[in-house]
Order: sequence, then C-alpha cells, then structure tokens
Amino acid sequence: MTGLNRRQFSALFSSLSGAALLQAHAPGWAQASQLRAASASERILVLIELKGGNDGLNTVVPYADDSYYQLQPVIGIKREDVIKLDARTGLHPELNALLPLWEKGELAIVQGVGYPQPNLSHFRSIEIWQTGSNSSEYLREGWVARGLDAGLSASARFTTDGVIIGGSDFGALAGARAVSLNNPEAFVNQSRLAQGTPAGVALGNPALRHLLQVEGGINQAAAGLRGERFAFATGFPAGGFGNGVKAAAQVVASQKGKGGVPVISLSLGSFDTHQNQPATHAGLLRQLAEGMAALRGALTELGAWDRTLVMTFSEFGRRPRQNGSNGTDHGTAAPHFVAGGAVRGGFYGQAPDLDRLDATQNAAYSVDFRQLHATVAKDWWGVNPDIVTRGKFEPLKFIHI
Amino acid sequence: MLGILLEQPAAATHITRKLWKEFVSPTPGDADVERIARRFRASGYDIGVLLAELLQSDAFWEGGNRGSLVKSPIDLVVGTLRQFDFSPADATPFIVKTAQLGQNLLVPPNVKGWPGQNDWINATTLLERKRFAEQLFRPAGQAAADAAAAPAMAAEMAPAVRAAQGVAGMGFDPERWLSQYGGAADKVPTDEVKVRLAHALLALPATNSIAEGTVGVAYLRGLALDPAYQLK
Repeated sequence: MTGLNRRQFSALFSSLSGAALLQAHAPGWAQASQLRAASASERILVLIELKGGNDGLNTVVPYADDSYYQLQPVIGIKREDVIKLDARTGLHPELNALLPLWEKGELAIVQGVGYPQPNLSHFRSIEIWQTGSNSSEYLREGWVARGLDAGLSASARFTTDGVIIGGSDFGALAGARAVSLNNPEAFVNQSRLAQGTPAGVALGNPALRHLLQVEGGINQAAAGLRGERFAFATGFPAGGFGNGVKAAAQVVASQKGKGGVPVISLSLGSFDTHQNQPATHAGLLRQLAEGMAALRGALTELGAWDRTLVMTFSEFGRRPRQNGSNGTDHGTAAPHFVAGGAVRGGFYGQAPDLDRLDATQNAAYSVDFRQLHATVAKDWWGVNPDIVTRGKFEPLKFIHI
Repeated sequence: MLGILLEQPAAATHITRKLWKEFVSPTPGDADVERIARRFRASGYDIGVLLAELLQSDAFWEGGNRGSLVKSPIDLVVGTLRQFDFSPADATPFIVKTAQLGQNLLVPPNVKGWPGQNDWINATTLLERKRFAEQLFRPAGQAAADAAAAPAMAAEMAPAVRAAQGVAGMGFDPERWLSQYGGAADKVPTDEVKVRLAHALLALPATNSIAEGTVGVAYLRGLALDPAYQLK
C-alpha cells in the first residue's frame, strides 16, 4: 500500500477495479476496511494532552509492589487509599469518577507507554509525540494530519478537520485544516474577519492560494459550528478543563445534520510537579476524571459516545524515585487512558519494572506511543497505519471492531 | 571554525538562498543563486553586495514574484507600525503579538529557525493577524476610549489583553497620514487615491473589493484586512 496518494487511496473504495485490486492483494484488510470506512467519517477522536509530563506511577498505582513504596516513601499513594482495580494495580483516589467507565468496560489503561531514546525536554518530547517522529527526527506535520491525509479527510465533507480547544498550538494537528477556539460562539463571532472568498480565485501564487484556502476553511468551520447551544443535562466540572469539555460537547452537538468534526483536542495542566506534588497532582487528576466522566455523560445524551474515542497523552512520565522536594522529575514511560463506547476496557501493555531502572533511574517502556496511533489509524479511521506512523508499529486491541 | 565554514562555497550559496527566500520569492533559481553567491563570496561576504545583487536582480522585479512571500509576524507587525508612522512608547504588546502569531522573538523552534512561508498561516494565526489590523484601524472615538480605559486596568491584565489594549491605545492620525496620498479621513477616496493607497500598501492587487462609499480609515481597514496584505 505504499506510494498511493490520497485520491488513489479513496478510489480503492469507490471503484470496482479498486475494490478488486484490494481484494486480490489484501483481502482481510479489504473487507475490514470497507466496514470501517463506512462509519469512519462519523467517528470522533478526542485527544487530551496532560501538559508537563504526568506522573504515571501515582496515577495507575502498583500498590502491591514494595519497590513502589521504597521509591516513594512520602508521596506514594497509601495502599488503603488506592482504588483497587485488580490484585496488583489501582487508581489514584481522585480518579474516582473514572470507576464507572472501568466497570462498564469502557476504559482501557495502556501501561508503560514511551519510546526509544527518550528525550527529557518538555518542548522536544511533546514535539516527538505530536509529530509521531523518532527521537532524532524533526517533522513538521502532526500524526493526526497524516491520518487525515491518508484518507480520513477525503471520506467526508467535514465542517473542519479538527478543533483545538483552549490553546493555539496545533500539535498533532499541525498541517491539518483545523481551527482553534475557546468555545464555538466566540469562534463564529471572530470568523467575520475572514471574508468570503470570491469566485475564480484559484489563480494567484501558491502563498495567496494557501491564504484563501485557510480563509475558506475558517468560513466553512464557522458555518458548520454556528447554531443554538445544546442544553445538556450533564453537569460540567468548574474550571478551565471543564469549560473545554463543555465546548467539545457543544462542538459535537452542533454537528447534527452537518459535516462533522473528526478530531477535537483538549489539554490540562500543568503536571510538571517537581515539588509538592501530592496536592497539585490530586487536583489535576480529579479534574481529568470528572471532565472525562462529564464528556461521557454529554456525548451519551447526544448518542455519540459509541463513536467517540478519548485518548490521553503527555510528553513523558516522571522518575520513579521521588526527589527531595516531595515531587518527581522528568521521566519516561507512563500509562495512558483510552475511553469510549467502542473501547474494549482493561489493561494493555506492561507496568514499568521498578526493579530494572535504566542509567538515568528511569523505567523502560513496553508500548511505543506510535502503537496507539497505529491502532487509531487502522481500527478507528480505517486508513493505512503505516502512513500515519511512518513505519510498522503493532496496533493494540482496545477498540471493538 | 568560522573561517573553515566560510571557505566552503556552499556557505555563500546557503546564505544567498536564505535571503532570496526572505526578499525575492519562495523558489530560488539555481543559476541565479550560483551567480549571486559567487559575487557575494568574491566580495569577502559583504552583505551589502549580496543585498544589492538580490534587489537589483530580474527576479526581484519580476511581476510574478510580487506578493509571493508570506509576511512573517515581524514583517507584519513592525512593517505596519512603520508604514503608518506609529511610534509606541512600549514595544511589549507587539512582542506579545508576534509571539501569538507564531514568532516568539529570539526563541525559534529549533536551530533551523522558523520554517515560515505557509507555516505562518493557519486558521488561528490568520484570525490573529486580522484582529491586529482591525484593532489598529478602529474608529477614532473608540481608540480614544480604549486608551483612557487602558492604564487603569493594565496592571491586572494578561499579556494578550494588554497587547490588544496597547494596539488600540496608540492613536493613529488618519488625517495626516491619508493626506500624504491626497486622501482624507472622512472622505471616500477618489480612484486616483485608491490606486496610490493600493500601491503603498499591497504587493498584489486586493482580492476583495471594498464597498462603495467607504471613507478614509474604514477604507484602510479594508485594505489591511484583505488577504493580499499578508503578502510581501
């Protein structure tokens, strides 16, 4: 499947000869892809960036491991406080709001997520995650943009390919036809600055064409996002993240009968807890859990939970051993959450081995973060995962297909 | 070390290419670059010689290359301030603005610098650029009101809001500026004045037309909000 451009790729689904080609060369994938492609355009991916590097060890807690308490004598979560999910692993008590999702089988916990030759600088590592690059590569486009280009964008007339809420960094959507906003109304209001594009202006130099394309994208997004606010029965938690979740739910609500928005990006932070971690971390995890629970509630009201996938990510985890300021320093592997009505809940990957830390006293990863991208590409969007991850990464099975 | 680098012919070519993409067009022609780089190197790396070569080249004057480059945030912000003779007392709001537009001064994303060109323009940055122009050319009464309100609130404001206030509170003298081109703040510009204004402000013909009957400052706002204003 290498060397196909977007149009050729779409043609594979739309032409008889294309289907025959696919059937001949990749029959299993052909059949599965056709089923997925039909609904891929209705699916939503909600990315939640945990800014600053979340301490995974105190999020998904190995409460039965003595090494954990030796490494975290002061700030480790007390055994009796942990929400126990099984005989070895539990959740930080402030993630209480996620328990119903876990019990319904709608929450996947992927442990030990990281990548080879990890970079411990915020700026560089988040760039690696968002562009889905190797540790030594510098890419400009985000991994989601590659997924859109690999066939997702062509599968529908989306209102906009992505909405970034509460920030202006396009991140994983870099290079995509996306918009950023704090809430849909404010965006629609601001969009008046982008005038309509007059007919016949396909002419002009590439820079002008790009400008007009972006203007057109803004207008299209505004037209699609316009509308009455949905009156949700679900309550949203107070604070910036809660507002972001509410805006995301409003974006989804506004798409009834419209083109749809396949990707929404949210963020929460700062998780960069070098000192006095317990209180800060507890507060952030509570916001995360309550926000995700509210998202579930709101999307269920819209009948959209079964076609929504929520996925957290962060530039890195944190050092297993606590530091001298009751905090933790930059680390490597960490767990991440995937939630949604179509998720196959449970544990994936392996918890970091706390008895086998590397030269920098950090844990080894067991799941490359690009495996999560590959899973989304293949099982959520029905596009070629190798294009998105720029190489082969084994998908995980956390999506019911 | 620097000496070793400069001895490589590629050094002159590299710098020539970079400045070509800053001043001439996004697509430097190999033959032109070679020719100019050779002269640049022969001059002992005299930047003045390089600039003269670039600005006198056929490519620079070629119609097809006009407006083929996207203004960087610095080009847009500083260029606009200079063009309209603004002289703000405090540069801070404008430094914040260029950062909002993607060019955090002295902090490029990596050693290669800012990729620039189309990368400057996405839905977010384009709306921010237009907001900048809109704030500059607010109706006179509103600008004065904002300026009066600004000092009291300045201390509490987030940098982004302060940037907006800084822009609005600067006081632009439309009468004086427009009169240079034969126009006036409260008059609809004549066709001749329109031509002069377009010539002064836009590298390309405007994409959109401005409504009949639009006067002075509002007319300038229309030009600054045109997509063509983002190009150099």
